[in-house]
Amino acid sequence: MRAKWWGATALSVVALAWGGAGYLITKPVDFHDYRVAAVSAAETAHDALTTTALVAEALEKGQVMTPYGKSAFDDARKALAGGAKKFTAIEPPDERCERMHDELAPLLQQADAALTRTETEPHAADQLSDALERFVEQHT
Amino acid sequence: MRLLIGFDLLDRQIVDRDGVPVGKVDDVELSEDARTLTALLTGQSALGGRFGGVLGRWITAAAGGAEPRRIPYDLVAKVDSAVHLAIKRELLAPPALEKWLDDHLIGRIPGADNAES
Amino acid sequence: MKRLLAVTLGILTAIGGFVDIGDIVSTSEAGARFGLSHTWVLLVGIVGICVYAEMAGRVTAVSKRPVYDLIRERLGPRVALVNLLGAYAITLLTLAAEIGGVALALQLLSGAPYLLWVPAVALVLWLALWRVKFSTLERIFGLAGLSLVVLLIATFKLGPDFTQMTKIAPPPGENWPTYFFVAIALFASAMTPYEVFFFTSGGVEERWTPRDLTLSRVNVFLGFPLGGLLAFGFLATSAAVYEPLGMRVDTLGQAVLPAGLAFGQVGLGLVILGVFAATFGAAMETSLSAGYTVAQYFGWSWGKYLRPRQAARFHTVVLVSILLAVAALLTTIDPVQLTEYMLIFSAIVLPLTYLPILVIANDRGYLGDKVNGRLANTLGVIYLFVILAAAVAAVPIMILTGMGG
Repeated sequence: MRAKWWGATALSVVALAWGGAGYLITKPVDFHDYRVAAVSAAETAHDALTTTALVAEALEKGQVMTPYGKSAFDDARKALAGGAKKFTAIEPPDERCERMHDELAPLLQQADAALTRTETEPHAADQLSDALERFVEQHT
Repeated sequence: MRLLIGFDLLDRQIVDRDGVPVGKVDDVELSEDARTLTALLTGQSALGGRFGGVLGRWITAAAGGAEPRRIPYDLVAKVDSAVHLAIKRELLAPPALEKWLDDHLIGRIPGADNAES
Repeated sequence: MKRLLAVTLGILTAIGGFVDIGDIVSTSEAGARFGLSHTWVLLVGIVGICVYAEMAGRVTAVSKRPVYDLIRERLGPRVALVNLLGAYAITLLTLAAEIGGVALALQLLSGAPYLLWVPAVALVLWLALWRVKFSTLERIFGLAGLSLVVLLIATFKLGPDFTQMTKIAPPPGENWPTYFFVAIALFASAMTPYEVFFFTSGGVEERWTPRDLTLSRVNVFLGFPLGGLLAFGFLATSAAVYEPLGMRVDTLGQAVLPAGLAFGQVGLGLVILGVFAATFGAAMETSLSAGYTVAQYFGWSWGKYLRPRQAARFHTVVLVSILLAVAALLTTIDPVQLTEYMLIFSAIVLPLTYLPILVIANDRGYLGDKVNGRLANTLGVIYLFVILAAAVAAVPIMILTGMGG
């Protein structure tokens, strides 16, 4: 008898967890979700550019080893790509989000090319970095 | 010596004469009139028996269904933070799982006989 | 010299506990986002782990039993089984993260992707545990971890805003829930359960007796504050470099960069060496702890002072745990994120670890006249409340902030 109760409890907990997770996944994206995703993509891009700039400058001054530089650049590129992919995967649900999308998408696109340039010229992407930072500040 | 079985014995560590762990007191065996303690039982199947239910069966099954080892209470030298036996553990039958793993896995790896210091 | 080397157990335990891979990244992240305003959490954590590690060390020296061994006696086999499952799961996932951390440190030195290093690291880890003496391991990794001291010197060179140290509030632009989320993670990382299991099992491996009470205390009061100080090094250097830039830290590469900026390649090299030693030490600590907890729950023979054949079940658990950890890593799960989750979940199981220690430390049956004094009990009870509060708050805050987003 006790085993049955345990079984029933366990089953309902699992069902609830699945139901909850299912709701969260299929819930349509609203303005708030979209804004959070956009801000986090912009932050990721900003951090990737800033890190690359810091490391590139340190490399120039001989403060860090070449393999370190290489793997730090790789990490930054991966972070940027991951962040941008998450953002572009979401369809903007309304007009306000549409505007936000049009503002951020070009910045993210530029960031990709700017990252490669920054690896050799540390200050190449300073303006872009600032633009991303402004985007984050405006939307939080 | 007066001992409370539930408080002083059950779940306590059994160690041999040299302090090497032998097992936990997973259960105890009483004489027919239930007045004297005749043996300590150790092994997952004894623990599983105490748990009862589904969980108990799982724990028993994890031991490969081996019978618990029975340690006659005469072999106990003293009880403090552990139950100390008067003999070396090699004199007791080795636990089934330990022996199986020794024969089939650990004992086959080079260096398994090296002592630490 | 021999006396000096006798404290390496405490140093290794503390370094493995305070500056393992998850702590390195989350502490640096805390510094980057919140400056030095979490310094008080580190202090609270250091005092807490000292209070409980001292109790646990005393229990072990007097009763000659590691604390995990006693947990089942006091909680009963059922509750102790829940504790075992929780502690084992956390220890195993931490082990996976640490192996990943060692591999990440090697990636920073070599440039080769960390996943290539994972199998090699796991093999060396297992060989070290199989063949090398406990005290030798303790000394190599405890002492090599000390090269992280370079971070403390770098702190003064880089000069973060020290006035934030006295502020218990998030800096402008950050909110309270996130601030508390990070605080709970930092506190849990200071008090991780495997630290006490490892420390007291290590005491038994070194055959402590009541005469070693002082040794145990020196280990605790020297080792843990030192570990906490090194964690502060990561917090402070990140605060100095990243907070003004308004950026976040989420990779190991970013966490070690400030040392390079302060002292060039030598500084960076020393920090990476320290990270390597600390994560490898933590990997040893967690893989042994995985074996210790299971063996001590069931009463199996365990430990490195026996021949492996005499503790076949213990060595099997260690071996299987390492293999499981490697399998988890090869799914390409991010080791850093893994520990960030683990820190929060470990906050939840903390009460089940520390309550029995407090109870046992008051039991004259085990400790005779060495039971807790008034100070140890007062602090112990206060910390039990702090631990409970953190455990209760952990999940709601995690959901509220979306993992500290």
